[in-house]
Amino acid sequence: MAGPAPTAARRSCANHPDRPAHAVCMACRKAVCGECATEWDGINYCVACLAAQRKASRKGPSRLGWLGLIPASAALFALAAWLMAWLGAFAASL
Amino acid sequence: MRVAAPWMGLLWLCSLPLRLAQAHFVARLLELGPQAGQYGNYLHGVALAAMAALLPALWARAVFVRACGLGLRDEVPTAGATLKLPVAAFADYVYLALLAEVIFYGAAPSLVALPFAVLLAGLAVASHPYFDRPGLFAPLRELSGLLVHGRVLAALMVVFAVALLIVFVNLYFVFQTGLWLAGAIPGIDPTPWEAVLSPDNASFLLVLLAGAILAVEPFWIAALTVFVHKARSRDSGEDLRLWFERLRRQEAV
Repeated sequence: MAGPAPTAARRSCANHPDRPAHAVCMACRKAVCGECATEWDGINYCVACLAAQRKASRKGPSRLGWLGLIPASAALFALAAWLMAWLGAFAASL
Repeated sequence: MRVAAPWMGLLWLCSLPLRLAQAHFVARLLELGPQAGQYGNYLHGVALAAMAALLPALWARAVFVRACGLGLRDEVPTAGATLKLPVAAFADYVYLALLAEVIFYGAAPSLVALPFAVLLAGLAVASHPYFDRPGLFAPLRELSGLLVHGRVLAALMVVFAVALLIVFVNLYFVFQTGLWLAGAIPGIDPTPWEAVLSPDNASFLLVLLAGAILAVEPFWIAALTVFVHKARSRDSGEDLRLWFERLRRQEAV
């Protein structure tokens, strides 16, 4: 199913120009040889994209992210209400 | 859009208080006129109520986008799957939507930044399923990647601005036609309604505008959801993955 793509047949590997392409990476669309292609979930990926997928799947919850996000959202809520009232009063007075 | 249609009702239901609160706020401003500055506390209270009404509307928009996303992936948007919003993605979206509100009100006098704020709010909701971590900068980085498609986004904005105008005019004529038809029914005196449904009545025009925004909003969000889905699936290879899955299913049959 995710075997050699028809477009890869006459191309060479992006990492090894002397080797013929065996498959096309589904993430970056680079043609890669059999050694550079890894099949995951029935789909071919190049080494770099597979590493990026692994890194993305390993990301855990970020406490620091929450610590920044909650006060920032609360401040934006208050600021938006204040701006709405201030701007409205300003526009009405014109 | 067809599979997400039932969720449009939820979106309308949750957005109605927000739009009415905004219409009420502007109507009070027009009523107060130059004295509005003396009623700062009152206006701030109404603005806070409008901002509070924004929160359920944000939730409904996120649910609607999730339903559209499930439909785009050939999945049936069941109630359980659709209502189960990822907390981090939703928190990121709320933050971006509030940022868009601040830009909208803060930059309103210049008028130039208004389309940008509307676009930011739209892209934030359409992209929120792809936000996987809470943070202040990660969701902005996600959105910045979409700005390379500036021409498509500008075209979408123009199309929906025209659609808003057309819906507004159509709604106006629906009310006028209703008034005209009511005059033909014996025993009904439409005279008091003529003043209420007159273009000279600012409150009526504001309610019409709120109605037009309510009618257009689901289609605007759905269009942006499809746009983000296409842009991201081309970048990530998701389109090819779905194509392979379809081929596999066809082979299995």
